[in-house]
Amino acid sequence: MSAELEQQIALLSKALEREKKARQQLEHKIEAFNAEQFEINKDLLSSYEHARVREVQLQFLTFLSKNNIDDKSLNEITHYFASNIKELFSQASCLIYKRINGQIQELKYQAHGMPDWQAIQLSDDELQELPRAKELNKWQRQEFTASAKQLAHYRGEPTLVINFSIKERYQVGIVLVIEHYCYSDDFKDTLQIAANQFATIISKRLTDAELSLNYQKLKSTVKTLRSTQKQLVHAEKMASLGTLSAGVAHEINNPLSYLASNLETLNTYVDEIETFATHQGVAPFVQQNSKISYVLDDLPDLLFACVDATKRISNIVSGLNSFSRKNDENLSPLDISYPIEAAVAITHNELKYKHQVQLDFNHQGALVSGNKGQLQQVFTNFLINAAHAMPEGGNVSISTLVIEGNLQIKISDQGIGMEEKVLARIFEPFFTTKAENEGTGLGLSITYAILTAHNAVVEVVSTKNKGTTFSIMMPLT
Amino acid sequence: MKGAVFNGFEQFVTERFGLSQWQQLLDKSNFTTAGIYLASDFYDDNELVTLITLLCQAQHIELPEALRDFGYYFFDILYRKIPPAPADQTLFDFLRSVDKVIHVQVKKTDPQAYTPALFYDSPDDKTILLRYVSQRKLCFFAEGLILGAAQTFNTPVDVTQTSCQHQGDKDCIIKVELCQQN
Repeated sequence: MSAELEQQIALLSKALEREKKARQQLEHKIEAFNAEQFEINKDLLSSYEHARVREVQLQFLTFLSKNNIDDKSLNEITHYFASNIKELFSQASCLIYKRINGQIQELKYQAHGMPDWQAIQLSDDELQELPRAKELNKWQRQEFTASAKQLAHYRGEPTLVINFSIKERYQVGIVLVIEHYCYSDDFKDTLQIAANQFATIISKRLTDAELSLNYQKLKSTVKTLRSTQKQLVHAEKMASLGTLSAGVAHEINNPLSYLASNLETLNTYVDEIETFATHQGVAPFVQQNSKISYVLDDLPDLLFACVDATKRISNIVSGLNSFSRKNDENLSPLDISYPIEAAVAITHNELKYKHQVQLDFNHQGALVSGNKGQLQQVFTNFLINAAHAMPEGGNVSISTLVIEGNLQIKISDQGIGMEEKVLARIFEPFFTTKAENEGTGLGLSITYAILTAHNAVVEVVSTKNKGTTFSIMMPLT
Repeated sequence: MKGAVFNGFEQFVTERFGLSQWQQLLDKSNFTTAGIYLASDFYDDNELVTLITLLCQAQHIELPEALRDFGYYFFDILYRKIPPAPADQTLFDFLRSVDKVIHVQVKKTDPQAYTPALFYDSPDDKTILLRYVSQRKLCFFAEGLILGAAQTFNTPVDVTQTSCQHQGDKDCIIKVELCQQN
């Protein structure tokens, strides 16, 4: 190469370098100008981008929460939440589990693109391999262990795991099996906000449920308290009446004894007077005196009526004594079906034409401590009362059932029923709805007294024109 | 594609294979631009792809390899154009800042520039996954850039793709793992 040519090349190379530098300077100027323009619009562009992302985020969260606040069960909202989160990922499948006291209780699986949740079973070893989140209410990215990859239902590599604590010892876990977790920070933030929102929703739902449960418990407690109070007042009243009855019976009993004894003597005297009056020497004189004759005729009838009345008074006093007696003498283990069947047999003649008695024993030989004779009296009384409540006839049913260490005996009729004010007084002595000479009003009082002496609790439910049910709870031996 | 990339490619070809190779590529491609690329301007993506394809044919190398090499080479040019990194910045810190810092720098020089979107995941301390989303599908070029960055940060890494659009996958996921000695 000639020296002139080499000089020419060197000159051209220098010229090329100058051109290159000139171009670079020009490019730098343009870039500087663009950068200046960018800085001017930077805040605007940044705000726009931020607003755009937030809008999308808000749309998704609003959609999610709108449907979550609908009236759905906890399971439904969990499935709904998991399904929608799953749809944010391409090719994702999802697993939901309930962990109670550390044990997996329920597993549901939703495959990619499938709308339904399927219950699945995993072996103990497989359950051990289930990913677990270390913190509550926070999405955590985890890799599958080698053995977990063998699980038939799992695809993909990373998992997103979240655990929500529903209440103490009760957790719901959501496992998303995804192909990757390369997403923007905004996307990941949205996921976490959705999780927080969901945690708030289920927390609120649980609070509502607990409030409702507590309210129901409170209502039940108030009801029990009112019932107990009513029973206490009633028991107190019956105890007072028992004391009063015992006093009255005692006071009547002594003069009644004199009266009965004297009437017996008087009867003897009358017999002697009658014998004397029929004596030959006296008889003409008596026949002539009409008044004496009338007295002698009427005297035996009057005496008989007095003796009869005395017996009635004696029966009432005996009833009062039965009502006021508190002892539990002669109680022994017995099968309640015996006194019931005996009472049915006793009342058979009175009930057989218009009434049917149905027995339904379900106590299977369970024994109570009782006096057979007294209990027979109780059930006889109930049966007679039931028949009186159904003058046109009907069914009386007696059923038994063992409930939590007690024997429940129910006696139901389909009779005229009672009003509330009658119901409140049926166990009081001398209280009766029958006509004056048809009852003493002591039957149910004595029944109540006997049952109380057997440590039984009696409840009555009655509906006017529909019937009455007596429910007796006796402790089992 | 920004002219700066074409300029970088020109520099890469000239340095590695000589000025005549570059001229041959221009002659064979017969583009109207005729090799005149302003760094701040934009040019058809296909021009670069064609130029690289022609280089592969001329030098008997595979396209992914050529793109990876060019990316590795180009990182140095690119790195000099952005603000200096903090002294304690690691390779992973840098990679995480690409979308928010470097691409913003590109936008500064031209607000209309199209930059790929990168989404990150860190399964553990030694691994970072990048989902590369770009209509240009230059994931191998991105791999080269990452390798260049690793060289600059003096941090040996293994770079692989767990899924790739060129293999029919939905996404390109680039896995960067620190080598064992790290």
